[in-house]
Amino acid sequence: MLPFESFTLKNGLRVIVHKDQSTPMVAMNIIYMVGSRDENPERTGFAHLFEHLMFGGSVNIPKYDEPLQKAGGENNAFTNNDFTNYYLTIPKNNLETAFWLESDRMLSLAFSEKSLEVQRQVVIEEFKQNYLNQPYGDVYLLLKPLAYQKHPYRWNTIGKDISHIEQAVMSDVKSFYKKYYNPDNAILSVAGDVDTKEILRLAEKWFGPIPSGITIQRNYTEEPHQGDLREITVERKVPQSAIYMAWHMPERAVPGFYKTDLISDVLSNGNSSRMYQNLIKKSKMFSDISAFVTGDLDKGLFIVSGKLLNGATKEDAEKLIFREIEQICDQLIKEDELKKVNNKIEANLLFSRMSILSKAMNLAYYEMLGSVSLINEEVDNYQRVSRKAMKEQATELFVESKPSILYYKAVNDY
Amino acid sequence: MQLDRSNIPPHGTPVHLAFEEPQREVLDNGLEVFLIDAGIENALRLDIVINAGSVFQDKKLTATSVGKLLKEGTNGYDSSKIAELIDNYGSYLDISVTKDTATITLYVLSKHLKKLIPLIGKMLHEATFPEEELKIHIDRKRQEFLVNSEKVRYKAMLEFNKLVFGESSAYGQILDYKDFDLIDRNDLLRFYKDNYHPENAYVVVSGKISDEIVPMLNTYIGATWQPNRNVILQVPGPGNIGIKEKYIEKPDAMQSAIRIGRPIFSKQHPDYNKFLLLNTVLGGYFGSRLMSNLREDKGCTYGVHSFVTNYKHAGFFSVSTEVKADATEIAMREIMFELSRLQTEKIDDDELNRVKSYIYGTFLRTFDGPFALAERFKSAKDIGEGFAFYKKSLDEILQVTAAELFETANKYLNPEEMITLVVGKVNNS
Repeated sequence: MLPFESFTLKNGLRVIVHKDQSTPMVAMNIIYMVGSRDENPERTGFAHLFEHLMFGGSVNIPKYDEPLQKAGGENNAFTNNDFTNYYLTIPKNNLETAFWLESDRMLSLAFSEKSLEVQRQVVIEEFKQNYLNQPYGDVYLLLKPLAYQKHPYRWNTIGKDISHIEQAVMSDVKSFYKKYYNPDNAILSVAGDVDTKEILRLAEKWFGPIPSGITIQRNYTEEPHQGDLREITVERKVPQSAIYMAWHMPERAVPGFYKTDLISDVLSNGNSSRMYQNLIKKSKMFSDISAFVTGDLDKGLFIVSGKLLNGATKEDAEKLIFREIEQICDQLIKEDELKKVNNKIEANLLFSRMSILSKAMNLAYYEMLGSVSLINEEVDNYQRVSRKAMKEQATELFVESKPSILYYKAVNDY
Repeated sequence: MQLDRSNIPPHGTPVHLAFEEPQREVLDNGLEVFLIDAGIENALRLDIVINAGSVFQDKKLTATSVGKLLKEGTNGYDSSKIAELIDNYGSYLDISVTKDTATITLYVLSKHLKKLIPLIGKMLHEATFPEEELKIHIDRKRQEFLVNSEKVRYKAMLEFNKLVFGESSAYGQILDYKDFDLIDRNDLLRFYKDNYHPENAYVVVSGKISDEIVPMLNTYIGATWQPNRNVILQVPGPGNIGIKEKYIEKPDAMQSAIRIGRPIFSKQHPDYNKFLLLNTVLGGYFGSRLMSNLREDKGCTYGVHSFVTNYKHAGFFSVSTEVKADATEIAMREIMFELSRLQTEKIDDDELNRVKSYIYGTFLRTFDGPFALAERFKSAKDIGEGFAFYKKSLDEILQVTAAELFETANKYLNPEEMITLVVGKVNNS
């Protein structure tokens, strides 16, 4: 059990507090419920570019970082398909500085042209550094538009194309801010040696005066069922060929998610897992193999990715992967296998509670999923899944619909 | 009253770094065990640190292969049985090998420690290094090496290490493709026999500590892992630095990786803390001079950082970045400019105090949670210190004056003494 207390301000800001007296630091996390799925298809990469602009000064504070550093704090942020997450840690004696900084950039930004111009360049370099100038860096730029044809998950958080980032203008920045950066679209969590009364006082003082936004209508085009196998092959100068297979799977907050996640664990979590033992150790046709779920709020992907070894062909690779997939569909997994993956989940949950920052992040995340109390129901959600339910889920995932396959072919001179 | 949003709220009284030193125990074989009792969750982290890093090897790849193969076979447990055991109890077993040490780290729920400790004991003195497992390991590592070699960042890291320490030094040796064909099982057996001994190691247990732990360690490690009185620990010597500039052309690269730096002292040196502060001002945090210049002003990089990298007996300073290919020259010029600026202008109080506060926060931050405490303790222990080292270090940093920083910059940051490496687009056309 992870203890917490929570309250909601009049303007709709949800606040969660967790007390941990073992450290002199406090962690603060803010989720804004906006991600790349909310973008205009002609202006992809915007939510992430916007995250950079959140550090370019707010209405009363010209620089975000300097006063935070003066207070001994450190911060960072990330953006994904569904939400944007800002976090910081600060010595507990300077906690009010964190409330001051975060509330000011929720109140209004400075909207500086210079900041927009520079951050466009910075994000373009980030695009190159992580996606283009990197072996296998463009895999998801290729795989996502193959697997999704309608839903906004078809583009990546970094953006579909560099030109989209180049074209971002200040009016886009302002309207995006106005629509999404409001207290009723945010979740604030605080973890550390703090008490809820004091957090309530600080939250009311700094965030209370910020007006709510207009209720956001969210309508994401549902991805149609995939009845046909789709595949593409690309040739790249890399040392090893690689294969990526993606199947559609249930959204994060339904029972099907837990069943699917357990299937991925049976296949590839840990060195005793089926794929590690059969594909890496026995067949020796893979140097790496992994099966994982994307965990998106809308229907996500179940992905198997592997790098090929010892002259294995695309056909060899597919055959080995499909054999494991078919086995999951045809036969009940063993009882001790289910027990093993559940032990792992239980332990992981505990290990994720060993620092205040990860606790603050998790609390806000579960509140976004629907309710912070879900954080203490996770283990049960997994343990409730039976072997039979997993087999049925596998059939739904792998038999009733078809995958998208990206074959990343090495053309090498090694 | 109107809320004042323009001024930073007053700071409270600073909290001080104060951590109890771990409780020290000695097992029957002389092995030291340090217990860090912290946290509320029923989870434990066990670290066994052995002086068996790559500086002690005669042939490249030996130290890492020995480390990684510890979980691929011991008397009584084959590779798949070890994997089953670790996964069944929801635990994680990591083995990391650096230049100085090999560390076996087990994360485990407290209730399962006793199931796994017999295996850990066997890994320390009854590992079998099966030929077949070595082959699988080497094949995978070779591929990983090839993939990494395509990354300008990785390539630059290896090359810079060689430039800074000289290839003849134990700290300067770097991997080459052919090394993967030269390693054999006998190298592993010899290295294991020579280096894996209790007098060459120590143990740290962190988390919720119970009375059962030390007797358990004594039964499965203290009573079985025999000391070897003949061990003599060599101290690796410095190599010769040859060239000071190297350019590796990658004509189709979109970005260039730049490294600029020099060898520097280890953590025990009297100027260490002053240099650490200087490094932070230059490129050690998000608001640093390099970051403000290259990223926030010119937008030619996603990030630029400077580092003080410490090994047990050596260290180096480096500035590291990947920049837009056609900004390679500008970036190099600006890095040199920022180095000289620290030598010609004294830092103002506002910036100095900001950096000090930031470092103060960083010190506190690295102690977040029981497992992080173990991490901090090991770093101190490796140079013969305990938690008190951090308090002393922080107190010293908070005392450094602008004049001292200026003097330190003039002693260690001369642009003409820097070693420069560029991987990527060198000749701008």
